[in-house]
Amino acid sequence: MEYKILKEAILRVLQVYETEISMESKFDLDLGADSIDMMQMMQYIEKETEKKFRAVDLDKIVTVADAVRVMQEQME
Amino acid sequence: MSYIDIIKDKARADKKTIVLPETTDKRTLIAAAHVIEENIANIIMVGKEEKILDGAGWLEIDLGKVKVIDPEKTERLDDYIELLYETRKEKGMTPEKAREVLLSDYLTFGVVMVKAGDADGMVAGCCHATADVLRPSLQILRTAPGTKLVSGFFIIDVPNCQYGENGTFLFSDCGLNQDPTAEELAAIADSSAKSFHNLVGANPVIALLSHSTKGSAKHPLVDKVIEATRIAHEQYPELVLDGELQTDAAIVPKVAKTKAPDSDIAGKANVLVFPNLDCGNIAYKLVERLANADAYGPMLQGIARPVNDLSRGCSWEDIVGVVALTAVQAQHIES
Repeated sequence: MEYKILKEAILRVLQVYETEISMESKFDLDLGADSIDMMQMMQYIEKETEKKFRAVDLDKIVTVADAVRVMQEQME
Repeated sequence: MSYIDIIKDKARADKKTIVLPETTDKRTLIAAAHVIEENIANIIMVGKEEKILDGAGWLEIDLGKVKVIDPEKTERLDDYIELLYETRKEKGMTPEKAREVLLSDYLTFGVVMVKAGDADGMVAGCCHATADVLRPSLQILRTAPGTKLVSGFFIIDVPNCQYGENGTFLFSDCGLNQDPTAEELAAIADSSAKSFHNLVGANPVIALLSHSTKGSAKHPLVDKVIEATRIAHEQYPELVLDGELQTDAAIVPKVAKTKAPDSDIAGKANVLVFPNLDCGNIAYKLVERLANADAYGPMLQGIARPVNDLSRGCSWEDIVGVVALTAVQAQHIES
């Protein structure tokens, strides 16, 4: 479920093709995300999951897999 | 009061408008909020309003008083296109190309805003290379009247130091010109004198540094500094300047009496001009680390209007400081 929501956030904010997204994708190098994009994606994820992600250090999220892991931790 | 607090006070006394084009970086957003909160300058951010406000919302900062200009939506776009085209048409710029550049390159957009007088200065570089900041600045704003080259300097504030201006120095060139010629060194000295006067508020006393004092060593490297001193005296006779001097002879009165007894400048220098970028860059980092000094820069001098480059590793606090310094530089451009 986390991956599905995250993928939707990526598609909405970064406007990349779905085929470009994989667990190994790096947000900055592969998907072209900047630090504000990361915040916008997290805001979308907060809305969808009704969970708070404000305490997460976004600088430590490098890959899609990192983001999924962070989401799983917050959802527990 | 620290040096940067004095600069912030100066900036507040005659508020200028600074454009920040790197609005995809959170440090820029946080810095903008602090600049506004501290009443240091008016801020224009170039970018998408929705994105900037989303970022501000996530960061829980107030950017309500920041002016956001979206290149695609601004009514000034046609004026900026015309300005960029007119400035660069000899270099192959067309109105179509100008539009394309302005809509895709926010650094150039910011520089054109400064050229148009819609902003007094620009601060960028936290997510761009120095060359990306410098290129449009030099192409569009060009060098200041009477200035031969752009150079980079640091204001160094050494705690509990009796030398220089109560521990405050200007070091140049520490960031741009790798191996300046004698003539370029003289030009760097001239720009540095103006920068020191504008940013420190004291009279500049300039030393052209070397590993030799008044002929104590013979080497082509020494000859370059001797020649630079001669050119500076000839071309900028108003400067209070001497060379070639070793650092101790330049700043320590007791050593100056021994090594350069006939120099009026030796022992009193507050502006240190290094013979090349190796020396300047190494020196500022040594003083910063070993003397626990505050180093503000690299600031750029010699551009017609103030544009300053940030380190990509900078903090938002660094950006606030450089905005304040840029605002004070802008005050002196107008005067």
